Formats: sequence, structure tokens, C-alpha cells
Amino acid sequence: MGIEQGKISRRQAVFLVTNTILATMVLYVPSLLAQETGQDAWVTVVLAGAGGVLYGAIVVFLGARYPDKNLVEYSMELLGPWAGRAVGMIFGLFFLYLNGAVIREFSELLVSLVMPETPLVVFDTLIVSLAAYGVYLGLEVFARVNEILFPTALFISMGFIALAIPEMEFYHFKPALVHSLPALLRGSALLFSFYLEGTALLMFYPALRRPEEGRAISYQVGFLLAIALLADILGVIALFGPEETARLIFPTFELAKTVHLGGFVERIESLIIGIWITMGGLKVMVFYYVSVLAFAESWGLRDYRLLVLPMGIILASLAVLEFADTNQIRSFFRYMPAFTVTVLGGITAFLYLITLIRAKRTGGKTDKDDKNKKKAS
Amino acid sequence: MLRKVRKPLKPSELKMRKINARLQELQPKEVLEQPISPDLDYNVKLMKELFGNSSDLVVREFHFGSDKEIRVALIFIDGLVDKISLSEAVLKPLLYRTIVDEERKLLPGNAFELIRDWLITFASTKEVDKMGDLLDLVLAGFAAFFVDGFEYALAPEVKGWKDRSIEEPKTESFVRGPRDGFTETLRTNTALIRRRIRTPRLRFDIYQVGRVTKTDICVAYIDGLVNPATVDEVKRRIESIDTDSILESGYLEDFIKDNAWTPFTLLDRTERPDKVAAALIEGRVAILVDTTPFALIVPAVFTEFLQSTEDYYEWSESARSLRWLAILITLTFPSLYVALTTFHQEMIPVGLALSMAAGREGVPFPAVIEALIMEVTFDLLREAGTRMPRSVGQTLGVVGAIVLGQAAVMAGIVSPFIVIVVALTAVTSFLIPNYSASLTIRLLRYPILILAGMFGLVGVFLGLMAILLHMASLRSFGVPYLYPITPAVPAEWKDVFYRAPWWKMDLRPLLLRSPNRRRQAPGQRPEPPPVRPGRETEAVIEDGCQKNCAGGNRGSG
Amino acid sequence: MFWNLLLVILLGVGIALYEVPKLLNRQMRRELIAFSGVLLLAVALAVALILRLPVPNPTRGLEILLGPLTRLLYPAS
Repeated sequence: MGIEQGKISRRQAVFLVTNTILATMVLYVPSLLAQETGQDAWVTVVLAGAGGVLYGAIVVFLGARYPDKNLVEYSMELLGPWAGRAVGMIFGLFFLYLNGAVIREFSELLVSLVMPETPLVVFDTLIVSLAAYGVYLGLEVFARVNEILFPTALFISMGFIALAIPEMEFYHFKPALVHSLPALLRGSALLFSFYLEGTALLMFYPALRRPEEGRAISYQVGFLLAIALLADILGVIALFGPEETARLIFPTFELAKTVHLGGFVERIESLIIGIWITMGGLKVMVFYYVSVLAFAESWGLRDYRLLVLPMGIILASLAVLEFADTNQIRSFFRYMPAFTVTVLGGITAFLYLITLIRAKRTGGKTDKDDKNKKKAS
Repeated sequence: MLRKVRKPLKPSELKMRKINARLQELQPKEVLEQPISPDLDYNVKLMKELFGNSSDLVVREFHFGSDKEIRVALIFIDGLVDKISLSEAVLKPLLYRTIVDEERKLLPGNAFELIRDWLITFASTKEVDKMGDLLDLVLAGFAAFFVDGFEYALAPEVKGWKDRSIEEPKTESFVRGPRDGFTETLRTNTALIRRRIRTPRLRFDIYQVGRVTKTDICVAYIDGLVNPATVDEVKRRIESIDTDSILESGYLEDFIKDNAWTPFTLLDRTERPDKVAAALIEGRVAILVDTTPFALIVPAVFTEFLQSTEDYYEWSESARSLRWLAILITLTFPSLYVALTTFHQEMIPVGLALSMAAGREGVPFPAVIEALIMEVTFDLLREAGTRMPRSVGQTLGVVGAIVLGQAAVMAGIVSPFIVIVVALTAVTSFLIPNYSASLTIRLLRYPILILAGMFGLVGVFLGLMAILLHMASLRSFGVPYLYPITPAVPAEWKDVFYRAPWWKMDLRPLLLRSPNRRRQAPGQRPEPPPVRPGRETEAVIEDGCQKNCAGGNRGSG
Repeated sequence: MFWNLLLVILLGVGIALYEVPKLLNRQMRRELIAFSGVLLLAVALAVALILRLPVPNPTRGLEILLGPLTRLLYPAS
């Protein structure tokens, strides 16, 4: 019995998680990866993808273990009310903070690419207001909107990359596997830290119409992410070469700029901006929802909606407060792996271990419970 | 739980009680509950008193029987009854016949039974013993027939009033399809539907709503095809309405829709019986309201508003996709113009940008204001056009479109491009078959326009997303408003983005949760017969006489 | 700056006016307390930012906290 009453389908969950992970990844990651690993960036996608699937297995295990409870609820059950509340608060604060960063990144993007004269706060507020509206309407609603918009966005982006193929030069990949292992690991760690954001799934796992499909969700998310990322990174590097890609801030956007259709349709890169706004908006909604729900659960509230609007002001302020300037955003990505791994990875690993220990100690009893739950659901 | 016990009444509940105490029937209850008195004079006096000697109340008292010793009174409302059938079926037999036959003589003691069973030759006649019920019947077009000395009254149904004949629906234009439309009389409308659906399982359940108007509201559905839960929900919502009047289905719509505050219509409404019939067969519920030709159809989803009944008669692949395009253009074109000219000139192709800049030269307003002026002007013209007498309306349209636009450009108030944009959106907005949906889309242009003027393309995208979020949050009788698109049911997209041929649409829409999903036998795709009909025996010969047979083939095929 | 301040305070009042009656009507005391706390914090944070009061930058703190771990990945810096 959680606060959330809505239900979402498997497809909606897959798209929601994929969008959440992908939205910020396509902005900065191609350039950062090219800096570290140059033309070997595809290796990091494979490495991080493998790590992501492993991590996904843990997430799905936890979700399937407690199919009618979200992360905060079962950490309160496992660790006792106070420790569980603390975990819930950390979870909520983490997503609140990260959401601030995401909003800031998107606002910076809009300012630098679309409207240089407009102050950052304006876009910040706009994005937060939209997200607040979505979160207020509920998980079901933004999951549905995402179900339309994410495939459309993915389709159009793939179309852009496909249209740029004639101008790509594949010799850019030529000296393959020349980068050192630490560099590759650094790249993979960066990618993996984005994959970890998929932990958000554990907050709306009980809303799944069929909780037993968790494993399929994690595989589909991994597959979609791998395809999208590989296409993006390979496309960008083949088009610009590793050095140029590393220099550009938003290589995907530059790729879109080179696309022409039949000599008349030019400058359609604004579509990419639209795609990023929609994807970004939905990602912000997911994080917003997760943090608000985590707070509401850990404070024992009966509804999360009352926190949405006040939290929106905090979110908008945080987005301004978190980074002093653009440089700090770029350097933040260095700290990102350590940050997400310690907090998100730490929480899930901790809960996973405790669940395992509990299961061992009480042996058959939990198994029985599990079966009963499966029957009930 | 405990808290609830301590404070049993919330402030809102207390308020409701006070209001309920104040809400009363227009007529005092005591009068309506009163039984009919055996005293004829009292009954007649009471009726006259209730109507306050209103001029359309006709009271006729007369005596009949062999010795004219039986006193009766006939009361009806002039204009609501058919006087010819009244006199043929009710008055004539009474006045001309003094006896029924040898054994049964009309006496004051048995007059009522004899009149009821032998003399009044009218098909449907009701027997009433309460003043209130009789009053309702008289107001609905029955005649009241009192006999002195009896505590009952007869009410023959002699309804008959001036009625509009069945005409072509004015609001839904089409090329192919049946041309009959609903009228203002509920019975005519139900008959129009019944004529199309010949099954006894078609049900018309009737309700009366409105303290003053007592409007008949008819819930139509096909038992066995409809989801019973939907019918119950419709009935529950109709029964819970407590208002003084329902003059049009629009009153009802506001009371029964799922979300109170939304610019979108959550119910489909139509004047066409064929559309209602199609909806009933799909497993929907239709609500017909007396005194209006507009029927409501529930549940309705947004994609339906882009479907015209004609799509199903005349197969046209492109119509649906054109309408989706039309929605997009209506919604975004003015705002894209504003966003591009104000903030992102570099995104317009160079040649076009130059001529646009030349066109905007000398225009004293920013693009938003320019667009707002033109859009508002257009909406003013449109509104004026619908309210004006038809003959004037057309002139106004021409004057408005050509003269105003031309003059505005010449005077340098607006650029020629905005005139093109506004004209285009005006045209595309009329591609949306549902009038209410088209109004909604046109209304939503304005917020996006303003967002575009403030934040450029970013504003447009955010505005569209907000609209999408809002639409995804809506429900119509429990069905998600964006239904086959999201939650996505790709199998049903064949009736959303284009219209699949009939033999492909084997199942009723999933959203209605009909207990009987299959619409028709599968695999009915038409194919040419393997052998030409009538040529089976000659198939062998054909090889030999290709030349000769060619002409014959053409004739028979 | 004055207008921004007014805007934020009006926003806070508006949110309170929108939510509080609903909470009162549903008799949610715990929720009301949580709501008021978060709203006060939110308005205070926004006002502090507008007045350019010295609010600590949380990312600095994180960078210090995560420094040792990050140096494992990026030994050069």
C-alpha cells in the first residue's frame, strides 16, 4: 500500500527509465568520452553496458522481492523506521540535488544554444514549472506522455544520424584500441554513473502492472541505451573525428547542423533542441517525482502532491545555487561517478545484502512469504 | 479513523445540509402528494389554482350518459396535445354513445370502469390516483380526464405538438452518408436510432432531470455489447444531478464530465443518428435529451474528434493524416512565426528571411502583438459570422477576410506573412470535424503564441508539452483521453492515423471493455474469384480461343 | 531585485493558499506541518539567493567529500 495509486505498463516503465538515463547523457557525454578515450569510445559503451546490466539485475532483484513496496517503504521495513527514514531522506536528497544539476544543465544548454540574451533563471523556472505540473498530475500521466514522446524523439534523433552518414569518414576509428586501460575505465565509470540513475525505477516499481516483468525491463532498457549511445557516439566521432568531438561542447547538436535534406530543408537542428527539451523535461519530472515521493514516504505523509509546489521553489533555487559557472558543471562530471556509486550504488548494495542475509537467516519463511506475495499479485 | 469519529461533520458537509434545507420544490409537497378527490369540482378548482388560470390550460366540463347525469371534466394544455385525435378518440365516443351495449349501461356508479375499458379508444392511457403524477402527465402532453365520484383520473396520451421535420444536420457537413438528423422530439430521435438497429437489446432508459423543466433524458445502449459498468456510471452521474433546468445537452455535459476544468470536451456530441448508431454498436452509451437535437456519446477519446462519420462511408486514406497535420498547424503555426521572426531569424532559410524582413519593414509592433491582433481579429470575425443572420454572415466573411487583411497590410499595420499564417490556421482549424474540439484547439493557440513571444521556440515546445500532459491526465468515463495513442495500443492505430478498410477492423475498441469484442468474422478480405464466374466450364477452351473470347470476357466481367 | 523578491513571496503565499485549505479540509495535520516546513525553507532559500546572501555552494562540499574517491579515477588532478 503505497501513496501512488496509478499503474504503468512495462513499455511505459522501459521508456521512462531509458529516457531518464539518456536525456542528459546525450548532451555532454560524447564530448567527455572523446576527451578520455577518443575513437575507442565504443569500448566504454560496451563495458558500461555490461556493468549496467549487472547493476540492473540487483535493482530488479530488489524490486521483484518487494513487488508492492517502493525502496523507502522496504528500507523502513528492513532497517527499522529510523534507519529506513534516513535512507529514504538520503535517497530523496540525492535525487533533489541531482535534479538541480540536470535542470541547470538544460538551462545552460538553452541559454548557450538558443537564446543567449535570456537569463538562466528564466529557463530554470520554466522547466521546473512544467515538471511540477507533470508531477502534480501523477506518475501515470507523465509516463503516458513519455510513452509518446520518447519513441518519437529517439526516432527523429536516429533519423538525424542516418542522414549524416554520407558525410561521415570511417577512417576516424582507424587506430583502434590505442587508449590505456585507465582511460577506458574512466570513460566507462562516467557512463556507468548515468546507468545508475536507473535506480529511480525502484521508487515506482510497485506501480508496475506486472511486477514479475522486471528482468525484461532491465534488458530492454540496456538494449535501447546501448543502441542509442553507440549510434550517437559512433556517428559523432565518424563525422568530426575524436579531437574535434572532444573540443565541441554539444557534438550531437553540431551533427544535426550538418544535416541537409534535398538542398532546401536546412537548419533543422532546432528540432534537436525540441527533442532535448522534451526528453530533459521528462527526466526532470522523473527525478522530481522520485525525490518528492521519497520524502513523503519517509515522513509518513499520506500524499506526495502537497510537497510538489514548495519543492519546486527549492529545485529552482538549487539549480542556480549548485554551480557557480559552466566550468564547475564540466568538472562536476569528474565527481559524478564517485557520487552516484557511493550513494545510489551504496544504498542498493546495502539493501541487497541485508535482504540476502535476512533470507538466509529466516530461510524458508521468507520464501513462503515471497510465494504468497506472488500469488496475491 | 479515530479523528473522523471525533469530528463527524466537515465544514463542507455542514454547508451542504443548510443548502439542502433551503432547496425546495417549486410546488409545495403537500399538494403534489394529495390523492385525487372524488369531488370533481374540487379537482378542477385545484388544477386551475395550480396553473393560476394560465391561458394555455383548457378545462372542459360536460355531462353525458343516457340522462346526462355523469359529470366529467377534461383538462389539457393547448398546444401540447393533438386536438383532432383527442376529439376523435376521447370526446366523440363519450358524447355520441350513451350506452356501451345492452348489459352495460352508463351509470354514475360504473362510469369510470366503462369509460376506461370500453369507450376511450386511445392506445396508451394511464390511470392515476395522485395529483402530482397527473400534473406531470398533463405537462408532458397527456390529457386529464376526471369523472365525478371517482378517486382516479384517466390520462390518455394525446401528445402532439408542432415539431420540426427531420432535416439534414447543420453542424456536420458531409458528402456521402444518410441525410437525416435528430430533431427536438425525443421520440422521433429514438425512432431514428431504432430504425437502424433492429435488435430488442437496444435499450432506452429514461430519466427526468430538472426541478422545473423535468426534462426527459434517455440513456441508450445495446445490452450485451456495452460494458455494464459504464452504463451504471452514466446512470449514477445523471441521477446525482440536482438542478432546476436542463435545456440542452450542454447543461448535462457540464454536470457529468470527469474533469471539471478543462478546455477539452470529454463527451462527443452529434446531430446524426447514424453516428449514434455506430457508437452504440461499438459498445458506447448515448445520452439523448428531449428538446434538443444534440445527443451525447460517452466515453469519448480525443482521437475520435478527428474522425468524421463520412470516413467510414467514403474510404479516403489521407483524410485522417491531413487532420492530424491540421491540428499541428492550427496549434503551432502562428507561434512558430512569432518565435522564428523574433528570436531565431537564423533558422529561417536565407531567401525567405530576406523577404520576410522586407514584409515586416515598417510594421510598428513586435511579431507577437502583430500575430495576436490578427488572430483576435479572425476570431472576432468568426464569432460574428456564427451569430449573424446567415445572409449577412457570408458578406461579412468576404469583407473580413479580403478587405480587412488587405487593408491592414497596405496600411502597414501587419506584414503580409502574418495574414498568410492566420488565413492558413483559419482554414486548417475547420478541418477538425468536431466543432468543440476545433474551438479548443483554436483557443489553445493563444497561450502558445504568448509563450512563443516570451521565450521563443523553447516556449513553444514547453507549451505543447504542458498541453500534452494535461490531455494525458484527462479521462472520459474512466477511459484515458489519449487512449489508443497512450496508453499505447498499436493494434488500434489503424483507426487513428488512417482508416483501415472494414474487413480489417474485426474487433471493437478495447477501451470500451465490451463483453463482446469481436465485431465480425475474420478474414473477409475481398479477393477476385480464382475462376471467373460463369466461365468455370470453359476454362479448358480458353487457351484455344484467346482472341475470340477477349470480347466476351470483358462483357461478363 | 525588489520585484523578484515580491514575486517569490507572492508565489509562496499563492502555493500556501492553494494547498492549505485542501489539507485543512482533509484534516491532515502531519502533512500540514511537513508542507509548511518545506515551503518556509523554500522561500527562505529563494529569498537568500535573490538578496545574494552567502549561501554555501553544495557542490563545493561534495567535491571535497568525494575528492579522495575521485582521485582514484583521475590520478593526474
